[in-house]
Amino acid sequence: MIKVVFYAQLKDFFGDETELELPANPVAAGIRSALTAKNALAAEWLKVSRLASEDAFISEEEKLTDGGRYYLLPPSSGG
Amino acid sequence: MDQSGEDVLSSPFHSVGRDRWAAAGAAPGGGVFEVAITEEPIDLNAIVCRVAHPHVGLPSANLIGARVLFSGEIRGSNHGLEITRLEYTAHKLLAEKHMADVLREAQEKFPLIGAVCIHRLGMLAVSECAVAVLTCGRHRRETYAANQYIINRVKAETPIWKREFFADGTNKWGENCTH
Repeated sequence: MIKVVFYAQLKDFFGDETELELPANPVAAGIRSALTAKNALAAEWLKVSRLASEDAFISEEEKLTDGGRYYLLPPSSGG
Repeated sequence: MDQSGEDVLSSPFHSVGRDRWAAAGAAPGGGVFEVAITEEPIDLNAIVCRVAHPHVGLPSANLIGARVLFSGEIRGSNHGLEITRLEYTAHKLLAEKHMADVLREAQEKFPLIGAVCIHRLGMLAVSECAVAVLTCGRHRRETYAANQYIINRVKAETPIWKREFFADGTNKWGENCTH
């Protein structure tokens, strides 16, 4: 089980955060596919969002830690 | 850590005044490179003064010949719709780290003596400053160029988001602006 925290547009689809049960030995790409299955309307935003751990951006191949907290970051719109 | 990353902003960062500033490098002669995320109004006069002339009092060692300040402010309209306020949110820890990376990379690309970048979070009224970038160098050309480089990257890449609130009562998430 991992926890995923959402920002900006993704909050409209998933709220502030959600818990996901992923298959054994999960990698970060599994977050996107699990969330797309949960809400297909969010697919376009999920495709363009970056994944992060507590303090760094992570790649699609990053191994996930059970009980870990991960972040989905839509394209920036600051300034 | 909470979802904002707030409680992780600890030892690598030092606090000056009401804002929490993070060092983003150093320059020969004592130039300042700092970033900050703040929920307080941005004081542009204070930002301009954050990079002092290195070796002030020793004119022969004073290298700053140009100082450029960019202030990104809340316009009263967007795409023809009247804006009443904007709300900014961020992944604070990653935003601060990314802004610091951008300043370090700007140091590598341009002969900067100092640079400061600060971004505001929370609800902002029209005309308030949302982001400020100060660059200091020997000459205007590289100092202007470095300032544009920093603000362009921060707007496009730093994990900060705005929500626009309109006079008709509606609101929507903002999009990245390249103007």
